[in-house]
Amino acid sequence: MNAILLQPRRLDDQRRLLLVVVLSLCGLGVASVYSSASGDMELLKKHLVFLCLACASIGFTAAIPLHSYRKLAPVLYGIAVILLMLVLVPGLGTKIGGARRWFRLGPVNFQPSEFMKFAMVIAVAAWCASRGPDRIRTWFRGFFPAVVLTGLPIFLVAVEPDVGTAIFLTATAWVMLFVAGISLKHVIPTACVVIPLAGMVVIERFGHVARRIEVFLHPERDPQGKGHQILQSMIGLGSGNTSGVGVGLGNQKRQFLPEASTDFIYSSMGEEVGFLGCTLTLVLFALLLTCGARIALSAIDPFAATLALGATFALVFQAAINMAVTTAILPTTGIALPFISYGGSSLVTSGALVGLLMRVGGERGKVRPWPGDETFAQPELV
Amino acid sequence: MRFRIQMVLVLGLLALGGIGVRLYGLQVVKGPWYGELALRQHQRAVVTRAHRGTIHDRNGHVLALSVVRLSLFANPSRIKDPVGTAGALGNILGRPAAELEKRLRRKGYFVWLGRKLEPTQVAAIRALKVRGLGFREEIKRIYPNGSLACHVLGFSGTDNTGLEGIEARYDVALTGKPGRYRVYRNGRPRGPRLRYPELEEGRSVAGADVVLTLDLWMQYEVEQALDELVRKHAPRSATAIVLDSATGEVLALAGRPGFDPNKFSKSPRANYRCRAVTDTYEVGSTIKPLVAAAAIAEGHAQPDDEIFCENGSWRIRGRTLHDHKPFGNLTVSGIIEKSSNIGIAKVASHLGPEVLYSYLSAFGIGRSTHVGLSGEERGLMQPWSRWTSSTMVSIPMGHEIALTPMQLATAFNCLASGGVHVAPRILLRMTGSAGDSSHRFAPMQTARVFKRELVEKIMDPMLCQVVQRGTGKRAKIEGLAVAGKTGTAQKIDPETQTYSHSKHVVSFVGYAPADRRHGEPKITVMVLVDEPTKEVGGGGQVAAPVFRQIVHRIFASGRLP
Repeated sequence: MNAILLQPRRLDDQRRLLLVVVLSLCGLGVASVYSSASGDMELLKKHLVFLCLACASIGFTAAIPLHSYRKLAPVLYGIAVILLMLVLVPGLGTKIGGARRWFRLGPVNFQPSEFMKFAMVIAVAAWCASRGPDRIRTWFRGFFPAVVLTGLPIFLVAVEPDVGTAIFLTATAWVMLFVAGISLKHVIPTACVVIPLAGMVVIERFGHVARRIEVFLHPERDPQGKGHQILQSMIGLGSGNTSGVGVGLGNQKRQFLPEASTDFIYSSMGEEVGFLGCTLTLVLFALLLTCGARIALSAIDPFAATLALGATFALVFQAAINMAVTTAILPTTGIALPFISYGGSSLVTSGALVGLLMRVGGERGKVRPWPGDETFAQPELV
Repeated sequence: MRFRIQMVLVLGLLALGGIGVRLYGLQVVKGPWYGELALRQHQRAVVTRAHRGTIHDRNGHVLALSVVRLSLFANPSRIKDPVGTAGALGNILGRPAAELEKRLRRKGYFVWLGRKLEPTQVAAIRALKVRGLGFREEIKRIYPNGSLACHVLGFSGTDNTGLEGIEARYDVALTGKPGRYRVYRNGRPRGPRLRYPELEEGRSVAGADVVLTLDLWMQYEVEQALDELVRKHAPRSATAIVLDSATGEVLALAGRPGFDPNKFSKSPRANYRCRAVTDTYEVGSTIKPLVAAAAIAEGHAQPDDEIFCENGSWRIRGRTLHDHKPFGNLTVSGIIEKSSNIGIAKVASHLGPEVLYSYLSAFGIGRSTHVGLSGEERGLMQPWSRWTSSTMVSIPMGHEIALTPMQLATAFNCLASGGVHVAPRILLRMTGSAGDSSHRFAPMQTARVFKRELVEKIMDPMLCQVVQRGTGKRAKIEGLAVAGKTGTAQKIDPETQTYSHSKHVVSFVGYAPADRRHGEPKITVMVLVDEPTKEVGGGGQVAAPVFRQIVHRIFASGRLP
């Protein structure tokens, strides 16, 4: 934060809009968490603490120069992978609800896959930049190493099991690779083979995924049991109608809607503020996407561009998945709504990603050209 | 690279747009439908029962009232020591520990252990301090006088609905109006509920208090007399009714066998029946004075007319009548005094069927008395057009017509009241919960049947003779003019379809004081005993002493209406 606030001169429109959007989303989040907790002040207090931490992480990541990220990328990636391996060790990782995803550090639970989200964005951006546009198009020096680089953490996350985060990591990494210029001639045939195969393995290996899909397709078959969540989510959104029943007056959060302040907060919000409020949230995320893409487009070099787009995509993709789940477009995944859902790791990670975007937006003046790529206009020498 | 970034941007915006379209469909288009679903699961209607009205006797004594009692339940999943808990509760509740233990071991979160407990039991259970036990308020109906007036009161069931007697008959008034409101519930089955004033749908209105014409003290005396009768004669059943002669108000109504409405389920269902209105009997000779009065009123006979009683056996219209002992010439008064079947048949023979029928109807025979008790029978009397040739002989001696005890008492009360038929009633007034809607019921309809002089000059002395010298001698009370008539009717044996010689319905009906120079008769008392099995005798031996005891106690105490 300091880096931005101390240099007001350099806080241009793009980043100002980005900050306004993020703070608006956080504001909506505070209101929603307060309402959905139905007077549980403890929950609200914790949420506010997490918000402060998120602001700190924005400031922290925005303060570090881009070249440091690039240098640190292998280290971050290495630490993240090691943590992901350690969490699978029964003595170290804590098992909650059949999945070994957490380290218990005193009162705080730490999820290494959350850290991986952040590390993955930096690692992929750094790797793409180090390859250069020509080599990345090839099979052996481009596509194949990219598969290894992204495949390892994705696999580790998938076996926790945390299929939702694995899908999220895959999507983010490969959208970044796509932007960096990886050849679609390699990606499409591979995807055609890998995606159905992975799908089969996942469904075979993790029964709950298959169940979720089944429930998603026919929630009405078991409204009291497995279809409950989806049905309740739709009832929450639907009963909000155009303008909602009023802030704080929703009844779905009173033990009807499961996870009303985390994964399904969008539904709880939808009941109280209706279509107008939901659309406002949607528009804010669309603005975030636009801002992020424009920062990427005006970035100083391919590393910065890929990094900015990766961070933007990571945020908006999570939001889109979450909203798609609550509106029953997709089956349940357990991905939180960035800035709005209650939850420390999600807020801090989101904050860190925003910090990256701010940094990229701030380093446009400094020039480090990438030879051979015409995307970036040769800047005037200062 | 620029192109690909723009592609991601455009595709991303399209995806978000898609979600927007979905939101529109879900919230705006199908919003009302989901709103309906939400309302259905969020709101619950809650019904609050109104306080059930109290039943009083005419002097304000409480006969039935509702109190709040606590019922004990357990959450079996939270009971740690089922054996110990069951043992301790078994001692307090007075129930086998094994049965309680079985309940405490059930799966689930709720079992009843004891309903509507006494406050002392509740205190003892609270002192145990066992986790997983809880109390819930329930309304218990209490009959503080036990079995007293049980057939009148009836009882209400566990859910506080009247099932028998006054409780059933005036259930709607006693129940009052339940209140209704809607709450916002919580997703959990026993979660907290939110109540909003705008969701009230009507406050509960407490049930009306019912005041009966009964006099608790007289009721007690009547029941005492019946208990003595049961000890002495062990009848199949017995009924006694005390009416206020002038107003027809039922001062006491008792029956045997009875039951305790506090523990009604412990008695057989047959005991619930209020035989005074639900059972009909061929009452026999008690009807004779009414027939004689009709004949005298119509000018077909004078009390001093002598009638030959055929020395106890008279063959007429294909059948032979008998008297309980042979009589020669008897006056009409003598026929009543000695209860001669042949004599009354001859007296009545001058009345045509149509006239006799109209008199019997005027006494209230053959139609409901509408006294205000549930399950009332109309009795049995064929319309005169369908009478056979022997009916005119049978009816005067109390056969071929069947009356409820209440009808018999009411019919006889026509004489006590000075020739007026007064419809009996048991409901004195109802008091609305608002206090101002108190409604006192006007005395029931009255209709003159006989001239007053006929009753005063002829029937009173005639019936006093019965008690002084005739079949009803055991009803005599020193210093009180008592008028009455005995009745002994053979019952039809269900096996042979003929009149049995061993099974009888015996009765005694009368009123006092019967000397109108010092005031009108106060009470009319009817005692009817079905099939006495010990020390068998006629109405004069079995029913008259009960009548005497009741009348004596009432007059001796001076607690007259």
